[in-house]
Amino acid sequence: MYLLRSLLLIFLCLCLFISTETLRAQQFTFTPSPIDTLAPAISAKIKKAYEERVKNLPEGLNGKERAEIKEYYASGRQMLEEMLSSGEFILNSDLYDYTEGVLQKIIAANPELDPHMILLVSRSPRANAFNTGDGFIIITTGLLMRLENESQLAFTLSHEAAHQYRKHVNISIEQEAKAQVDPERRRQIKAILKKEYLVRTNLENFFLPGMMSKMRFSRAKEFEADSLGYYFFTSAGYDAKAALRTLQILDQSDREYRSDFRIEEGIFSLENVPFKPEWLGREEEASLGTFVRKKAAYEDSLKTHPECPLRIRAIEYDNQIAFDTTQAFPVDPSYARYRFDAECETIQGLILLGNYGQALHNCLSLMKAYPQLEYARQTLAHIMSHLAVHKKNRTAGRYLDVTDPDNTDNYNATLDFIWNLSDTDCAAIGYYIVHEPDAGTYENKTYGRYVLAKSAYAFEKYHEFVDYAMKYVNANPGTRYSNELNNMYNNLLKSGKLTNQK
Amino acid sequence: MKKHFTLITLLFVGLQLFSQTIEMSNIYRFSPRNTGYIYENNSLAGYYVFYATEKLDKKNMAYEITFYDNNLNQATSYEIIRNKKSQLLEAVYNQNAFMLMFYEKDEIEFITYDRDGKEIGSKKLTDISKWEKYRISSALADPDAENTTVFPIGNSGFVRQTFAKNDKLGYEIESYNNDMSVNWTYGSDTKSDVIETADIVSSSEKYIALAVIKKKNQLTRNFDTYFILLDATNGKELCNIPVRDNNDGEMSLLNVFVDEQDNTVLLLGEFYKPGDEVLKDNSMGIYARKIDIDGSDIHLQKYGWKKEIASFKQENLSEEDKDSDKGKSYIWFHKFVKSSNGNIFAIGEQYRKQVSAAGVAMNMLNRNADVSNFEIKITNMVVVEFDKELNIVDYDIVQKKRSTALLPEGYGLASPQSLAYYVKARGFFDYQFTSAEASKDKYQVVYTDLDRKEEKDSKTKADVMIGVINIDKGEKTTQRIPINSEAKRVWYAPAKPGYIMVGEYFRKERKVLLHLEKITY
Repeated sequence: MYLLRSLLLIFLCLCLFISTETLRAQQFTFTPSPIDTLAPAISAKIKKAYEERVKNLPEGLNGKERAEIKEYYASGRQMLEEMLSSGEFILNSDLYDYTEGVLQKIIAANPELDPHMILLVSRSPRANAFNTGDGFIIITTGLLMRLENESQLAFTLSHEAAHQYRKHVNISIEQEAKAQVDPERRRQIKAILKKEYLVRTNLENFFLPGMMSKMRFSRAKEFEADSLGYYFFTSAGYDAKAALRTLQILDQSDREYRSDFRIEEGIFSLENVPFKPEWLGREEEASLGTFVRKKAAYEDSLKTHPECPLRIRAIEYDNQIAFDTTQAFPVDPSYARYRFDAECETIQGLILLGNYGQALHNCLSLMKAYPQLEYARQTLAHIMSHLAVHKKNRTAGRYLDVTDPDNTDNYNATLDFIWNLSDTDCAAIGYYIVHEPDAGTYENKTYGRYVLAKSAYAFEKYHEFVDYAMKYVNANPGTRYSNELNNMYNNLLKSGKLTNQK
Repeated sequence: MKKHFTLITLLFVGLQLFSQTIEMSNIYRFSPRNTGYIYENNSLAGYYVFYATEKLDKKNMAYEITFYDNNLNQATSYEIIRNKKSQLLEAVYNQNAFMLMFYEKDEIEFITYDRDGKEIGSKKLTDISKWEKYRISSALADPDAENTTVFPIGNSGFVRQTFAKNDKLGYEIESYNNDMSVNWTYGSDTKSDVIETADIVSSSEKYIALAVIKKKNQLTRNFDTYFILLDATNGKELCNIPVRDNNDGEMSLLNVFVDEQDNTVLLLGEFYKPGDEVLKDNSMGIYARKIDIDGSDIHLQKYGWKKEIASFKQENLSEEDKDSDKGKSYIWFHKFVKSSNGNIFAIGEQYRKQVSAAGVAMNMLNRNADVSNFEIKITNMVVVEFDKELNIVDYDIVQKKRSTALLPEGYGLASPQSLAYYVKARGFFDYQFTSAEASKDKYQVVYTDLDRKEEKDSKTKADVMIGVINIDKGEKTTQRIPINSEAKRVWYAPAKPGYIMVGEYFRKERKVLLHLEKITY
């Protein structure tokens, strides 16, 4: 009887597992959000936020302090503009609308919050969120893909809204600007710089106490934002305990997203590109060996954020709640879609950053989880096309990590694999991964058409490239990808390769 | 930059702090003198960068030395306090210790550090010979010059070649333990009536191989070459033999291969007809001489240019290349590679002395021009393959674009062979380095090809073109690899087997980017 019950249980679990996997495979499709179309509107908002900020400078400042603060504000604006123009932000997609909707829910439940706060979603692989002090809250897809439910997202946004509400960034800027123009401080720095000896030591001794105090203040602000954020998000009706799990997720965010993923032959079994066992060959370890990293005595004192376990304890203590670490944390099915989108966008972010090693690792991991996902195959072709060109020019090393003892062995195995591929291997894989069984699957899709063009170019099928590129450019004029394809076409004309190829 | 860092920490209040990435930026000058390579068993194990961080007082300066592994990951870094005039000459690593060789105010100091940066030994030499001072000052004057006099012995110590202060110029070989205590010394006879100089041509845990030159005075072109093999553990002389063939003419010693598996030594060089001199006359051909550890001859094989080597004619060679092969050119052998099938590949580069049109023109226009009317023309790469029995089984000329090395005034009288030493010392040969991956029986010989056309009749030129001779499990292939960059300056340097390190200098961004690129797949 016991055996029967156990077998039944195993069967049910298996069914659940299989059905979830099948569901995952069938349910989700993905197309990267269009790039650039909303950029001018966001740029105008960044400009407006800057002008507002300058107009509302704190009172009681002297001219130098005002000028210094303005300089900081201008630098902040410039950084946002650069992120925008680089295509880092996702500006119109379901993921963006959903995330923005959560922020609006929090604002609606907390009238004290600024209703004009603007959310931006960055395609950064780093699990992070931040407030710029001028009303912008930025959350990364690297974090969104690790969260498990809307409550955790709500706590993250509430934490950042709390920074904005308490004007933490502006206060820090004001303090720093005042310190920068303080005549006594400047005199002391000049005196140190004029000294002939021990300049670096004296500068370190001069700045270190201030930095430590600043970071202490920064860590205190984090506790305050946690506390206030907790209030905002519970006021909006979200699950209070989600705050604790969010901090745990952050604490563990440097771990691999899918720790069970390891590169293997399967994905690369293409009819036209026979798999070569040597592709999976491993590099010998660096012969200098591994060294223990030395930690500066004051390193912990310079952290901007408190350790997550401390923050968890503070929330538990303040709110009389307990975090059950033994509990399982399944992904909420209603959030799973956005988590998936965020994972897909993160790979786009990695391509944008030019980190092809991590992009390919993430892409293959996604492909393993969703073997039928068209987007994963398209993205694999996209990455391989870049690698083929860079490997041919011997510039791949700029865009590829090299194995590092600090990496996980799974990631190092992927890196070894990529390094083992030649330029022609990359071009062939990139081409055939979207041409087997045929390219028709992708031809009528925006990203698919772009990828077909890129992979044909890398595989030196130039006339095919021109066909796909023209179709893409005609359908999507003026976008980043169109400009890129246009440039490729012009270079091809200049090199004479197009006319030489029949 | 400082402000920029503060700005990042201030402007954005995030949820988590990530480790910062450090970029080599704001670089105004890049001095190769302060960087170097760490070799281990003939393979590149890593790199080092040595730089001053601050003046401590009137006399002393704080320096930082950072070691990178062969994947360019930072391995370790530590601070060193030394006299402000201190200059780092060499850095060597032997798995257990780093040895740094410093020079300051006519003194040499060796300091060894363990892997954690803890000093484990030092040795100061205050009474150094004028020859050593001359060698050091020459190395310091030329930022690209290599000054390699210290080598690791296994993981327990180091061996160094220096000059002895005998009546005549002599040499000394010193072996040190990791704590810098002297293990043994070996040197030329203090009473020797001839000049004796030695080069360490190979070092391992078992053997130290020396090439010794003996001559009556500095100006003479007559000299004798000796090969000496020492036991690396105690400095005992295992063999000491003249390289010349007693029954025949002179022989030059161009390279040595110590085979630790079968305890034999292979000597390779050129041979001359009786009465001819190495630095003056044309050689008759090349030889391979196999000896036992005690110096007894096992086998001597000679290959004449006109007879044996000419039989390996290559149909695709141009008339000029064929002429080069008929004895008008000389060969400088850079490296010998022994494949696991027992075959040996001798890698050389052809060169010849010729009248320099540029030199003549410059001397006609300006009588004070410091150039000779002659130049050295450097032509193709040569790969000679010997089988186990030292028969030549292949003699291959790998074509590349010719380059010329202008000679200083007065050098025109010197023989091509002696000028080759000058060309080699100034780095004018196109051969760059050989990467060895002995465990996989893979070797890559890398040289610069000044023909930058990516393909034959191609319109596009690479920024840098390198040639690679691959020897993979005894099979030789060649390839040309273009390196392209948008940087203001691009160069390449040795890296781990199968790779090169590409350096790019972006002037606008004041940034140096160093990255590895795979050369063979």
